[in-house]
Amino acid sequence: MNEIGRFEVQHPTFFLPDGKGLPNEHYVDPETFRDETEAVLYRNWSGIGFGKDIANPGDVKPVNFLGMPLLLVRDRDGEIGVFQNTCRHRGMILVEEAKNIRGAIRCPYHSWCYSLKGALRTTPHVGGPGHNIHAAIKRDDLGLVRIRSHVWRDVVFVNISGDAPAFTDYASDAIDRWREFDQPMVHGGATSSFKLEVSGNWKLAVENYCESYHLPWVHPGLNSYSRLEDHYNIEVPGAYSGQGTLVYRQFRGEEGRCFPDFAGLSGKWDEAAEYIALYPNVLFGVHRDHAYAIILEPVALDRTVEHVEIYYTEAGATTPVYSEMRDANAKLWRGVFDEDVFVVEGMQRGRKGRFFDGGTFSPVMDSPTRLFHEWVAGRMAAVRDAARR
Amino acid sequence: MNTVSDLNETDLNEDVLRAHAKGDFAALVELYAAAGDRALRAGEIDAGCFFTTQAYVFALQDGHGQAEALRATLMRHGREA
Repeated sequence: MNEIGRFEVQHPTFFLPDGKGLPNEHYVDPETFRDETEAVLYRNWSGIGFGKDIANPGDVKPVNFLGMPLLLVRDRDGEIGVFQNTCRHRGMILVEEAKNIRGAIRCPYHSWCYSLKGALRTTPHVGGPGHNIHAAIKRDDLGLVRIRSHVWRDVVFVNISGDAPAFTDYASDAIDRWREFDQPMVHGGATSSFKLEVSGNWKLAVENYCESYHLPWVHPGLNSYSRLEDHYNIEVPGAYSGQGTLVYRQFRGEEGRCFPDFAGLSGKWDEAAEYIALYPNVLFGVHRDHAYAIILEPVALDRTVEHVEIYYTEAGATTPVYSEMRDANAKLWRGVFDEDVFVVEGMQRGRKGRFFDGGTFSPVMDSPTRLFHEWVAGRMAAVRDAARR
Repeated sequence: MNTVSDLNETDLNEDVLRAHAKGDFAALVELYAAAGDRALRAGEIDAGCFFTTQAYVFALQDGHGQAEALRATLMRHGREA
């Protein structure tokens, strides 16, 4: 980590010419987008949903992850699982909308039924009318395809390829960095949840988020109390990058009331806050009294939906006295993230200019972004090299 | 379809269609289970197991209390695992 108030380049690049960014194709070429979907999103740990969206046992929610039909499930033991949302019989989509399943997941086509743990429970009439068994149908081999998943900070991550390192290994540095925040947090309710639809490639949202360089111009409201020099870069090659601030100012409601703090935090967090992009597509923020997570949902090459969820302590999330404060805090964050939309969309349009050469990074101010580019380029190279062998 | 089932088919069809239209899975379980029971008592095993299967599927989906009993009936006739 950089020293306080200083931004220094620490990490050499191997896959991109020194100081240059990812070439245009990564933002405007459908074939590169398709290769990137595989190499960057499917072969690593990507965020696809939130635990709070399947809060109760039996809750299920379908998710379309760049064409891959997935199903988030909370089973009767309260455990979250992710399955391919496809019946093993004829490939029918099992669940079309979020709901609570009281018993089994029933395919609407031929009524094959699956438990919430993915086991195939019955195959009605598969051997003829009134004959639900047949020697050729081995139920133990025909359960729902389970997708490797892990939940951290209420974000459901998946590894579609199934062969990434364990999440706890991949994200070990981030988990350790924020170990003090590894404690119960409660979603702030309906108004603490919002979406932004952006006409830009999902990576541009990551790149903008993890640098503080743009703050004085795009977020001038911060200048009065969180100057550029109060920020520091956060860089962990191959995993995450972002920025921290030394002057987090708590939101205050009527009579100067603040949200309750998370328990047992060290003094560092009295006035600090940190914001990281966990590669590839999840953005996090932590403060002494609230936290948030943003899943960047890549809808298309040049369209992204940013799903923002804000969390508090139990008291902060549920006590009526904080209700208006929660609304106001969410509105504040929405305003900040709204301010970023025009730069993400502008960079997307700028990359239609064929002569844009990937850009030139500031060796001092752009290093978190450069680290992310280097990671993406490295993932693409790894897949291309494997394909050639 | 056998004789006993034919006698009740029109009423069953109307009741089932009404229950489907309302999304009343508990009613579907009861209707199909009753039809299955009548057919099995009349010795119409295939028809009985057909209707019991319909009941069983909706009972499974709905977490209905009769699911295990329906499964047990089907297993007795070698139609379910």
